[in-house]
Amino acid sequence: MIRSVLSRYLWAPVFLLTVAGAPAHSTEDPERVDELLKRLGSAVSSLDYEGLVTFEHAGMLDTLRVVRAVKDGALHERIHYMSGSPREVVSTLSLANHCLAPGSGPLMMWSGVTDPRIHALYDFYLRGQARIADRDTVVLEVRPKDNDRFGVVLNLDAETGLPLKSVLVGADGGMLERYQFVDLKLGAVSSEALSPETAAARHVDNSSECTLEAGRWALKWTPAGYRKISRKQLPDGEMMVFTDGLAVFSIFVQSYRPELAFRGRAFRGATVAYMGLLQAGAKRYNVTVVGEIPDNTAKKLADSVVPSRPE
Amino acid sequence: MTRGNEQESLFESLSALMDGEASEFEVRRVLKAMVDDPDGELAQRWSRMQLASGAMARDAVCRVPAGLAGSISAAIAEEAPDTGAAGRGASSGPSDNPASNDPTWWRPFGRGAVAAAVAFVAILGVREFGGQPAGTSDLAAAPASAVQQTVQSTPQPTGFAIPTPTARLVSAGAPAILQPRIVPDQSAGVVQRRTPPPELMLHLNRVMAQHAEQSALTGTQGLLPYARAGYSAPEANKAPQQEQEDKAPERR
Repeated sequence: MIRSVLSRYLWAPVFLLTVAGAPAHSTEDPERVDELLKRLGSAVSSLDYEGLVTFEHAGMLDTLRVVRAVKDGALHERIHYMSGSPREVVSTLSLANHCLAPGSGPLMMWSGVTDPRIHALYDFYLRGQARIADRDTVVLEVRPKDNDRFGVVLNLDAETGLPLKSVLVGADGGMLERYQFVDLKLGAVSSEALSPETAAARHVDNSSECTLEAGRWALKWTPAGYRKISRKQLPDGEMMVFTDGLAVFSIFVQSYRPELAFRGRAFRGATVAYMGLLQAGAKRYNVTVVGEIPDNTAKKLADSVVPSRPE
Repeated sequence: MTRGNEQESLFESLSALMDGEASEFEVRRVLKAMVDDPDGELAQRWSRMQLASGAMARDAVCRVPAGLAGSISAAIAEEAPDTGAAGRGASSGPSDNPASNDPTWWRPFGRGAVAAAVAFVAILGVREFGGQPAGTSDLAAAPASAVQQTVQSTPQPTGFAIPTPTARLVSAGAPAILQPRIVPDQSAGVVQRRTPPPELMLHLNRVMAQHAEQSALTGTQGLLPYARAGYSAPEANKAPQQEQEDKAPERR
């Protein structure tokens, strides 16, 4: 048994080398992968559940209670942080909002993975089974084809397709962060369970429109597959958000502040923030690229911000 | 309250701070005490706790520089909501949000979140600050080794290998690793001992929180961004006079 498993994994790269050049689905079983991705997309936009989650990054372990329900065309979520200072987030996301794919469809959780364009950016591999939160899961490895994004290993619930574990994997194969259920209760969720426990709970919604109109800034280089999905006006500048369907990064261009005259990078878990400076005309700006992307990509992005039009 | 009792309660607040359980009031109180007496027992204890915490996390040991508490405290003081948006605030009442014409999503990062923000950003490993004066054209060379910290202590070979992580059970809000990671200035070949200024830490904290929230709204990663955000509860419901109280804060 062990031998057969080992030989399967050992031979996989050889097999892949053999079929290298085959476009789109460089995976052992493309039909099965597509079916899994479809189930994932459907599970996350239709299932109600309550669960306990651990989130681990940079040597830190957080525990969270999550409650989720889809009703009245909106996704309702409550996240209660169980470690550290008491915090709580209540989120209401309208599924009619066109943030992710403007003009092409409503917001769908994890919908990026069901977009066929994702196969140009990532390879998908089935990695057997594992048990998570007392449930059987199918392990799916999502491996980037270039160095401008990280890999993800997903454990999808065998019964529903829900992601029960998500590990972000760095270029060296190391684990950057891990989000994992330890307990999951599927089924209808009461309104009480979705109500905040404390008055201090933070409320998030996507009621504000996503704007994509050209702003003050543009990128002269964008890594393959990333698309701008929103632009926000800040009191002192502008914020742009990009995604390739899985990874997300944000670019902040703000009026220069002398105390922020830094070039360099800062890390928290899988998140990098690269800071740069930009001169446009007579004015200077602070540029900060933030995302769960390789730090060198963040640096290149910061260097490629240019004014889209004169002052 | 006797001086001994007061000292004990400060130590308790410090412990709470290290455990990520300190209230905003406690954070301010500890910081103030350390600013008032930078060489006092409290400051020394904090430094020792940082060393122990760093050793536990197998981080390079780095003493908390004297005066850091002071600069963080100053940053908090400067973070009054009225200063958030220049030229605004005079017309509104004290209980109003003076930045009411700001985009709504900007608000949570105002003063209320600052004490938590300091804690939040404290787990940043700030690795590379070239320290180039503003306006210099050459970029500090990026060390190729500077990458996101992996959860495990030893890197794994490429391929499918998910190692057993070595995690400490502390919260993301715990300011336990207030240890800026400074890398040598590549061009000069000299180790620069620089402390990232609190303004920078606050800025990084803000943009990371904003990024996390926008990521959540895109929906490509489900609930993950909320976990990353490690949100702090707004302090709006905390009575301002709490700061004036001269009694030891209750521990939870």
